[in-house]
Formats: sequence, C-alpha cells, structure tokens
Amino acid sequence: MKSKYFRKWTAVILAGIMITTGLAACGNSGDGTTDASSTVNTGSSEDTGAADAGTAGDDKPDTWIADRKIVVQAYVDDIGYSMPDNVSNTLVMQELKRRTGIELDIRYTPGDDDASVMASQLASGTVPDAIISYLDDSTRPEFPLIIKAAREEMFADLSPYIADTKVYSKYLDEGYLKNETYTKIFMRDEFDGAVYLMSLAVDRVDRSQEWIPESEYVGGMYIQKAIADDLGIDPSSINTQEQLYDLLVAIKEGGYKDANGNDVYPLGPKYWGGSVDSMGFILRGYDWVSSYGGYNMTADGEILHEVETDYAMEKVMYVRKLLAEGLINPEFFTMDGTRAEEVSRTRNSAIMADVHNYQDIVFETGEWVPLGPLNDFLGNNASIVTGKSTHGVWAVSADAENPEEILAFFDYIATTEGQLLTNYGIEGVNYTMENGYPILTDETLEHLDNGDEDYLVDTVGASFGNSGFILWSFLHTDVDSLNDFGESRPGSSLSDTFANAIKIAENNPREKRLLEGLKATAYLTASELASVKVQMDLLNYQDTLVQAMYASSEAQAQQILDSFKAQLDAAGLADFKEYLYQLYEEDPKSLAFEWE
Amino acid sequence: MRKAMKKYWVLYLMLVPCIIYYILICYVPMGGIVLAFKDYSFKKGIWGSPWVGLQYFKMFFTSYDSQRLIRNTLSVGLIKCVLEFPFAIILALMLNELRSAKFKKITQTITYLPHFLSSVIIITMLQRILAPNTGVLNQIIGAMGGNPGTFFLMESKYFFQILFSMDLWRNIGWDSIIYLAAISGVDTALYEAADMDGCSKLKKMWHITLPSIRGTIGLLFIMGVGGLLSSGFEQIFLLRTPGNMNFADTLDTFVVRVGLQGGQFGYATAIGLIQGVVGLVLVIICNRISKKITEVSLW
Repeated sequence: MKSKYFRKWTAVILAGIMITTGLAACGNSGDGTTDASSTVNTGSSEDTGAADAGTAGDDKPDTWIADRKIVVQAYVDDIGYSMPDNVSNTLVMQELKRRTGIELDIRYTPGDDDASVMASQLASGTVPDAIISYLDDSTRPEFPLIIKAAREEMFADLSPYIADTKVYSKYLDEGYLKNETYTKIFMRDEFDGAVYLMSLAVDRVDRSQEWIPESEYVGGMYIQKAIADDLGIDPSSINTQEQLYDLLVAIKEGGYKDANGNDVYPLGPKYWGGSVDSMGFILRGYDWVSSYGGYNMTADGEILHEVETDYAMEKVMYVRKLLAEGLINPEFFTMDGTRAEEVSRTRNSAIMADVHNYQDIVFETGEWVPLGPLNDFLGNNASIVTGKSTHGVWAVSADAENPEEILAFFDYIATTEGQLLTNYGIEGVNYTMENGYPILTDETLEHLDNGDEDYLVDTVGASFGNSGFILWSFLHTDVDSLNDFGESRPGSSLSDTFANAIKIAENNPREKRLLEGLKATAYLTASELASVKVQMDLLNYQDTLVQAMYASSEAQAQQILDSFKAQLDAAGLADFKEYLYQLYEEDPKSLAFEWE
Repeated sequence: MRKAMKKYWVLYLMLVPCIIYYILICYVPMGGIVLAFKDYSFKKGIWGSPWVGLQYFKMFFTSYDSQRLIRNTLSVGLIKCVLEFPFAIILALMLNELRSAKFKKITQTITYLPHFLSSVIIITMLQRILAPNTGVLNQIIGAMGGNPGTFFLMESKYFFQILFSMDLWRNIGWDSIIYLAAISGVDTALYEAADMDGCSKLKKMWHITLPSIRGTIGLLFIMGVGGLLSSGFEQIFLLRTPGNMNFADTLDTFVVRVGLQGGQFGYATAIGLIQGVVGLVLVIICNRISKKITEVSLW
C-alpha cells in the first residue's frame, strides 16, 4: 500500500517538475535582446562593480556623454574571437566609462557565418541599441540584409546629429568618402537624406596607392626560400602564367622532399585552407575581370561575363594541366584548414598559394619568400586598389533611446584621443608620450611580443593594432596612424616581433593602381533587379570553374561552362546587362571596367 | 471517459507536458507557413508582411535549377528511405541469432556508436580516408597496383555511393534497435514448435521472425517515406565540393542558401512547404496501399 502511494506521488511530483521546466524554458527574459544562452555576453557593471568607475558627478570630464549602457551586437568574427572574459573589467572600458559615462555591453553570436546570424537576428525583429558588421563594399553578403533593414526603418536616422560630431561630420565633406561609399552606403538616394549606415575604418588621407612597408600586408604566393635559392631564381621575376608553369615543372624535376621525406607538391593550397579565392593569385593572367566582379567590358563596348569569353576555359585548362602533371596538390581547393596548415608547416608545398607577411610561418621562420605577383590580363603587375577603403559599418536601432548619445560615443572612439586610449591602453601603464607620440612601455611591449592575450585582451582590453581586443580598432575611422601616433600600429617602431614582416614589405615593394567604380554585381541590389538577384545569387561561378577543372574530359569541362552560361541566361543576364549599359552610359566611372 | 480520467488522472497528468511540447514546438510554428505566401518584412513580422500569393512557388518551378534540385533530393531520399531500409532489419535478425551475449553486446555497442558522432566529425574522417594519395583507401588502392590519386569527393560519380556507405554505417545500429525490440516480443513457443518440426534457422527467420515483426517494418517504412523529399542538410552540405555539387545540391541545402544566407525567408519557407506537403501526401498514399495489401497502417 505504502509502495502504491509512493509511486503515485512520485509520478505527480515528476509530472509537476516536467511542466514547470517546460514552461520555464518557454519563458522570455524580457530584455528584448539576443538569447543569452547562445550569445557570448561580456557581462555588465552589476556583476563587476565597474559602474562606479565613472559615475555622473559634478566633476564630469569634458568628454562626458551620458551615464548609460549601450548594447551592441557584433556580426564580426574577429571581434568574437578576441572578446575579453569581461569587457567591463578591462582597463580601457573602465577608463572609457570614466570619460564618457557610457559602458558598452558587446555581444557576439557564433554561427556558420556572420551574415547568416545577422539574417536570423534581423528576421526576429529585435535589434539591440546598435549593430556592427563587416561591409567593405556593397557586394558583401551582409549588404542586402542591412539595406533591407534600413529600408524598413529598423535603424535610426542619424542625419540630424552628424553635423555636431567631431569625426563623423567629416563624412559630409565632399570627397572625404569615396564616391561609392558615399552614394551606396552612407547617403543613399533612396533614403532622401536620411543616414542609417555609418562606414568604419575610413582613412583620413587616401594612401591607397602608396606602398607603406610599416602597414602593408604582402599577400599572395610564397615559395620556400631554400627551393628558390637552389633553383637560382628570383621569386619576384615570376610574373607570367608560363613562367609559373616552368617553375612548377622545375620544382617537380628537382625532387625536393618535405619534413617527412615525402615528395613536395610544387603548388599547395593557401595556408588557411583550400579555397577557390586562391585562383586570384595563381591564375591572375587569365583573370579577365581585374575587379573580380565577373563582368567586364570589351574594347568594343560590349559587356560580358567572364564565362562568355575564352578566359574561363583558359583558366580551366591551365589547372587541368597542373593536375594532370602532378604540379598542384589535388586538394588545392578543398583541403580543410588544419591539414592545409600541416602541409605548409611540414613544407609539403613548395609554394603556398596564399599567405601574408604577418603570419607566423612567414615572419618567424624566414623560410618563405613572396613569389610574383603575376601580371594581370593586361600584362600589368600592379595591384588594383579602389581608393579609400572601408571595412565595416555600424547602425543604431530605431528603438534605441537617445541615438545621438550612441553616435557621440562612437564618435569619441574615433577621435585621436579615443583611438589612443582604445589602441594603446592607459597612459603611464601601457605607454608614455614622447615628442607628441605614444611609446609603448617595456612591459607592454614584452606582453605584445609574447602574444600574451591574458594581459592584452583580458586585463588592458585595448586593440594594440590587431593583437588585442579587435573591437576598438574595428570602430576606428578617420584613421591616420602614421601622422597621429608616429607608427602604423602600436609598437611597430620598437617591436622585434614584426620586424621581419616589415622587412618583407620593404624588400618586396609593389605597385598599385586605382580602378574606380564598383563591381558590376554590386548593382544587383537595385530594386528593379530583385528577381534577377534571387536567381543569380544561387549561381557560383568560382565553384563552376573548379568543377570544370576536375571534369573527366575537356569536352565535359566545356559542357560545364556552357551549362553555367545557360543558367546565367535563365537567371536574367540580358536584363542585368541592360541595366549595366544604362549605368555606364550615365556614368562610366560607376563600373570598375577596364579593357585592352 | 470522465471515469477513466478520474481513475488514471496521474497518467493523464504525465501526458500534459508532451501535449504542451507538441503544441508549442510542432503546431504553433506551423503558423509560420504563411511566410511562403508573403514578402517577409523584418519590421512588420510574419503577420504584418504583405501577401505575394504564389509568387515563390512560381519562381521555383520556373527556375533553371528546380528539376535538378528535385531529382537530387529524390535520389538522396530514395537512398536513405528505401535502399538503406532493409539493412537495419538484416542486422537485427543477425544479432538475434547470436548466442554469445557478450559478443552480441559488443557488436551492438560498436554499431550504435557512429550514430552519436556529429556529421562534422564523420565527414572530416571521411575526407581523410578518401584523400587522394594520402588517404587510407587510396593507399590500399596504390598498394594493390592501382592509381592512388583518385579524388573521390571531387568526382560526382562517387557522391551517392559515398553518401550511402556513410549514412548506412552511421545509422544501421541505431535503426536496428526497434527491430530487435520487436523481435524480442515474438512468442518463443513458435520457435519451439518450429524446432520440433525440424525447421532450419533461415526458415524460422523467414516464416516466424519476419512475419511477426511485419507490423513494425510496415509502420517504419510508411513513416520513412514521408522523408523522401528531405535529404537532411548537414551531411549533404558538408560533403559538397565544387566537383560533386551537381548532385550534392538538394532542396534542404537550397533552403539554407536562400533563406539563411540570402535572407529570402519567404522563398525558403515555400520550398520547405513543398517538401512537407509532398511528404504528407506520400505517407497518406503509402498508408492506403499498405492497409489494402498488408493490413498494416498508421491509422
């Protein structure tokens, strides 16, 4: 009898617990922001005691804005990866709070990719006080989502407040922002003077065509120095597709071995993992579209997609030849990051398709030297630049209280004073001022050289270039580090760590040339091309090229390219071209076209 | 009914969480289906967004890719629902015949384990096993005098074979559990009678075990047919390479590309709706046929 009652009441209690748990799980935290369970939350002042670092008292500094917290959602993986354990506890955040009264609650939600996370969160209709995203130009996958949100007025119009800011007011000056940034992102015609999107990382002075070794990333192909020396070649003299092929053959015939005693592959994948974008380096001579937008114009004024030209098949045949002769790692396009790093570190690749001078394998070992770069289809060796760059964007939620305070906070971070604090840390602790420029203290320099994240990220929480908490350097704009701080990044004039990286840039100066206008595909966001965009977004030209490269025969490769052409036609290629012709007629500089 | 409820009120109480679960997780979200007929606005939400009628369905069925996507999805669905179906039954029959309890348990554990591995781990292993020149399979081929340079994952002709092998290896043990449970419920007197009649093991399997679990097999098959037009996202997405994308692009990967990556929520919902409706129709048809022929049915 006892046992029967025990069973009965146990069942009742269990059922009760299940119902309560179920209902609790369905509850809402009520803050109207991102789900905390799936979000990296950096904590708040309540649990850190940082709130009293800068309470609003009578002795407010001149930089005081408001005593409040701003919740920011970042769709930038670099920020997520470098997030301090608790932002509020960092010296920089505490000092910012003291100076401005504002505390930042920065959140990052990991996902397949940042654009997908953004799509999900925007679709849920809730935006925290502000968002930050990558956005170098309007071809980024985030752009259609951000524009859609702006069109639906999910963001606050900041135009009434911009003129009162110290830094962002410069965006209103003619020529400060490059034309496409101004007309496509900052001040879009369709918004009738409203400003929803604020570009980030804009250089104060356009130095895009200058070669500045202190700040240059020398990317592209790198060859093992020992192999280059043994073959007696000057790696910078390899400039054509034929020269590259001959070099690969010479490497194969040289019978070089890797660290494990295996034959090396003359051409290996990029250091960070196989990818189709390596084609930009190994096939530059066959790349008809220097702006990598897929479309270009012939000398006769005809707009074509690259697949409609011979260049597509030339690319395919070149790689097919390399594959057939064992000159390229067969997993060149698909190898995962871990293995790609392994084949690079064991020197299984004589040439890495893509790496740069700030990767430790390059600047620490001295075993790799830049190769090429190859000339483009015009026979030009110069790298293409598009003018003043911009790498990110931020926007304020339409529901945020006092958006002018949020703008003022972002503006303060962008001032020279704000950049100094957020990039160099605390004066007297992390740097001292000498001759008007900050000089890192020995202790901080040592932490920087050792890559001590506990100190750089969790304790100080400054950017230190890109070696600390990247959020701050991402939020900088009106950047002129050489002029303001006497060096391109904190410690670059003193640190031994990156001395070799800078030396590589000094020894391998590269020409740059300006190509004005936007990639053709940037215009697919035009509202009249909405249905074309939906179809064209599903097509992947680079993947198609790789598919053709691995086809069982040349005929099948051609068939794959023809099929892609047919898909383009079906997606509305004719309508798109018509739109591009109109654009070109109105303003030839609106499109990044160039021809022989 | 009231009397029964009063008598078994504890059992009914225990049922409440399940009912709440199904209402909240399965039925309430079904309202989102209306997105398939709306131009989704972030701000206005599902109910406030403007209607666009059948625009997305028209867009899909007139698109260049629709036939290929449906063909690929059906192929993957057939592999998973039909081709793989008998293997779990065969494994269950074989396990049932094992006399050593220890060996049986070890075998069961080994066959169940892959089910608990994530697709990412399985496909990473697969990439290593099938890698050209350095992969185990290619090294075996090379040791036997063949060409060790075959890049299996980049050749579309191997895609379905790889998918079939991988999925079977992963699920066969797990899927066999339910059949083993059904087999354990077969009346042992039937086997004893068969033994007395001199039946061989194969005959007992054919004439006793299989007919006894016919109902379970039928139910699982009918339910499996509903998934014919869903290929599962993870495996296909992770197995995709530029070389095999002709086959490795299905409605499920399409939905993710269009919906999550492209922000076309209405379009993605429409494709999802097509999959759901086709699945439901297939289950109904299959159920009717089964009821007529074998008297086994879901309802």
